Amino acid sequence: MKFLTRLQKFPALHFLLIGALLFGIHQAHQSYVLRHSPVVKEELVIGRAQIEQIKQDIFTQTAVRPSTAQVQAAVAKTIDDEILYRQALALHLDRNNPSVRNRLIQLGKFVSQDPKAPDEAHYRKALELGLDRSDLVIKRYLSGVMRLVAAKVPTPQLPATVTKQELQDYLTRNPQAFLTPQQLKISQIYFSRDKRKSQAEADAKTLLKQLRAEGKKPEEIADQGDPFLEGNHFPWLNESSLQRSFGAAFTQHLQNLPAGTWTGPLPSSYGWHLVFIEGIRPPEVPALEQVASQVRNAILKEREQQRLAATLQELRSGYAIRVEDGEVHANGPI
Amino acid sequence: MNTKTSIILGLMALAGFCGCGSGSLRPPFQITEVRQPCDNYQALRQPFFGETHVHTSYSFDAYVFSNRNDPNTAYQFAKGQPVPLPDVFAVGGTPQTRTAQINKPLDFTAVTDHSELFGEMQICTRSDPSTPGFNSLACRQMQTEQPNPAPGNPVDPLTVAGLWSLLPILLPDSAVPMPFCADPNVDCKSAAVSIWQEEQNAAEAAYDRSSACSFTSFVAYEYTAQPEYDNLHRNVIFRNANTVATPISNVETGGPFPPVLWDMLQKQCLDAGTGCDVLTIPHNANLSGSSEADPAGRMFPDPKDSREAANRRAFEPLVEILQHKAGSECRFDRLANQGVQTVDELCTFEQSPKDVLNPSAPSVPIDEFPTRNMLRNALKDGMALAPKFGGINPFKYGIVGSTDSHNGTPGNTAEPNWPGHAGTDDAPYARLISGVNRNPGGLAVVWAEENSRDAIFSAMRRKETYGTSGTRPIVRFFGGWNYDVTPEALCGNPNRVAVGYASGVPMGSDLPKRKGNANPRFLVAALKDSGSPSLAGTPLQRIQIIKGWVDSSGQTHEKVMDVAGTSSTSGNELNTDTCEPNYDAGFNELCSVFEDTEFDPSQPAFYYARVLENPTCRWSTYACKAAGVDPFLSEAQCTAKAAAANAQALADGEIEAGDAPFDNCCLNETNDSFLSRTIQERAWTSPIWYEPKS
Repeated sequence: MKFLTRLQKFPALHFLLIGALLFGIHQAHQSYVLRHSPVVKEELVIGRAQIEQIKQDIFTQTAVRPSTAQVQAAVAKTIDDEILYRQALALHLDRNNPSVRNRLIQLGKFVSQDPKAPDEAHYRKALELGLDRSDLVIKRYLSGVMRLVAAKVPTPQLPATVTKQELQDYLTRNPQAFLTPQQLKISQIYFSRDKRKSQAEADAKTLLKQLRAEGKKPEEIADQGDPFLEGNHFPWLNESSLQRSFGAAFTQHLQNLPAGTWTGPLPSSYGWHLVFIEGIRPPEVPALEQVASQVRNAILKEREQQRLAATLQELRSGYAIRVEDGEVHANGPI
Repeated sequence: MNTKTSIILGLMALAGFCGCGSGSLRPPFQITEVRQPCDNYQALRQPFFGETHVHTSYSFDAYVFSNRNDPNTAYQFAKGQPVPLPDVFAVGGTPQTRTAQINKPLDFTAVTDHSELFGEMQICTRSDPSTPGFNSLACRQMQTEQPNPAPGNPVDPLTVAGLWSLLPILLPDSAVPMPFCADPNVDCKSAAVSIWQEEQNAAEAAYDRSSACSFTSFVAYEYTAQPEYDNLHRNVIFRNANTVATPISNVETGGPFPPVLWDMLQKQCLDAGTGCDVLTIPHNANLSGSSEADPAGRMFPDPKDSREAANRRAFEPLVEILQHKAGSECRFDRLANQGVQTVDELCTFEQSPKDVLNPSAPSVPIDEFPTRNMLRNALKDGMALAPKFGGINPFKYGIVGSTDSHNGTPGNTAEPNWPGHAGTDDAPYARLISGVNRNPGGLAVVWAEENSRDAIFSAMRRKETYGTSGTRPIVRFFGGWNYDVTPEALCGNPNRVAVGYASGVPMGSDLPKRKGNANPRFLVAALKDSGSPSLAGTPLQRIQIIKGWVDSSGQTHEKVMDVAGTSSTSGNELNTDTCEPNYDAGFNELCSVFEDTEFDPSQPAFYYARVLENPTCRWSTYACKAAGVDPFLSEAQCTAKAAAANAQALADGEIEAGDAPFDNCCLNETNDSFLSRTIQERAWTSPIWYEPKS
């Protein structure tokens, strides 16, 4: 039901469900039972043999023996896939589905004595043999469809549209993700370690005293110190640009300096520097108009994850899940 | 240079030096898009570090190795965010257990996915399962990484990538889409448009159009012409958001014909009247092979006619000199003690043993290597060819570097803990070491006034760029006729950059008109990489100027000259036990004014600067040490450790019997033509050319 109503409200996904909707009532009943019988939970067992197979698969594919964490992740995904697959069957997503049909025709041809028979005959043959329930490609396909449905189909709580108010709220709740970087405007005087060796810091201190005593402004410092390839005066720059020019430690030190006066000396990757911070533009939360599309994308992405997680949680509650391996449990990090 | 230009340059220089900021003068580049002016405008230009070559999950040969980082994620990585990488054992994209994060964010990035197979990728990996084609054999190969998709069959993404590239990319003189594109209801063309739109959306979302100008993205793709594994690839970079309706791929050009690409770009972009502007950047000339028609190499063939020469010049201002599939500057085999038209021993740096992309091709002896597939020789030959094509030098290339990462990790060039370049293809350690000739790749650096598309694109067009092997030294290079050569006169002048512009030209330009009998003079200055919180910058060792010229008989020559720093090593630059550099050895900064006293005004010439850092451990040295095989052990000890590591890997099931990847850890300067345990990271500037006036 929950799924059915969600699906019906989302015309874009109808193509997924050409057959499924015809069986709406039946499936609604089945999924209702499936989810609301706390006493008769459906069993889902990941047996020792299956876990061994998972390990073996990983080993065969990668030539590396998996760690417990890796097995854990693979088992959790296997459980999710299995649950999604069973749900897809419960919703009859396999009925009248052209992809499943093509695969079954293909399989039918494999086992047929008469490959030139009409497709319909191959299809029937494959169904007769129960290949629609045993083929791993179909299983994988159906769990994939179900995963997509769970993530994409809107719910009343998590709709596909985003209101302006929601945009604003999200921005207010998550300002860090959208902050403009802090910008500084600095002038500096350079004391080369290559040229002055260990004297560089002392030379800088001497000049600092003099500059402070004379009250020198940044524009009055021509020819002081050593020539710096990037010059003495810098435009408004953010932290990463300052790091490019001076290195990380220097940029870190800058954060704690007062503006409007000569300070330092600060060590950089190249030597010592006297610094005059001419202006600081703190990080700002941009106006919504400037980042509306980024905020919308972030919200929609978050909702897809929430829908998938909620669906999986809901579906898992309908199962008695047992993993037959002491080291591995059902809920793994993926 | 005429007087008017001098005055403009002078004004520009003044504006920058006085720190008057933007707004007072119109920027010297054309503005073609709507955006806020940049707060970080600087008339004397700044070095912006970036990447013009990176693949994401939209590329068939990235997705098939379980890379699931899309263009949005790639731009996030460039800006400093951590991104996931597939586990060593991942199949079908799961699980993504590794993470990667750049040491220092980039200033700009162009995501360049393979445009061939865009439609197929959209259908197979980004469409609803009911989309016609989704269940085709080819799609299931891509989804399962199995050449023969069925449960239990072998997973072999490399073979799937090969099968996928066969028709659209590898044919000798034609190209067709995947066969399933011809199936009823399958529409690969429309699907390609849809993925192309996603690429553009990602670039737009990543671009900072505010006045902070913190990051620039470019809409771009890779043109993947690869006739029978000869690499003729180009990255196609658009100036702004006005692009072509669908990428002009190897299929659209009907096969591997770069001149057709330029003609079609002319028609569909430059002449479209939409404000579209574009350039193309060839890469891996080293792997372009040769043919009967083009024995010197296929990346830089003799032009068919003057028109083709002019088109190449117009569309291709830059070439990528280094990336993960090795370098293309020059080549020297230390065991043969012979180079490809060079005696420069520093040309052993990051070489591929092969000359084509075919994984099963043999190594090529040094005297059989196609000469022009090394850029330095192409630059020389271009000057020699010019008289045949109405004076047009067809190979007048400026220089950038890039990674060609297939992990969606632009600029991830640090040597320690390099995670490989393409998902599960070369995840650590055994797989990584088996591809020991690969490397993390390089960076593209542009000198631009501000971090905006128009400013950076204009810098690329005028070739005011340099490439690095992955580190971030800052390099200035100017040429002129009257720079003061008195020691410290210019290098000690705080206005040296303003003087550099005012009395000469920057990297990538032609020398101005000769004055009297003067010799050309060059101002070159470098600052070492300022480092990052996790990796300090390595001190510089020296600056070299490399000159190439053509004599009166048409013979080409080259000369490598040390102009600053020192070539002598004390041996204490690097602790080979810990791989820790000695930060007190070498130089924080270097500067020199060089005069070419051997200059002959009748001979065309180019000059470019190469800046060398002190030696550091190569990525393979870090990786081998981590695996317990220290390459600095004696040969016997190393071989024993490698044998033990191979045996362990075999016992652990990491490799198959007969494989011995860790033997690569014992390759070194005495037993391999190119490989070194320590490398000198470097920067190459675009050349400055001199053309004699007839």
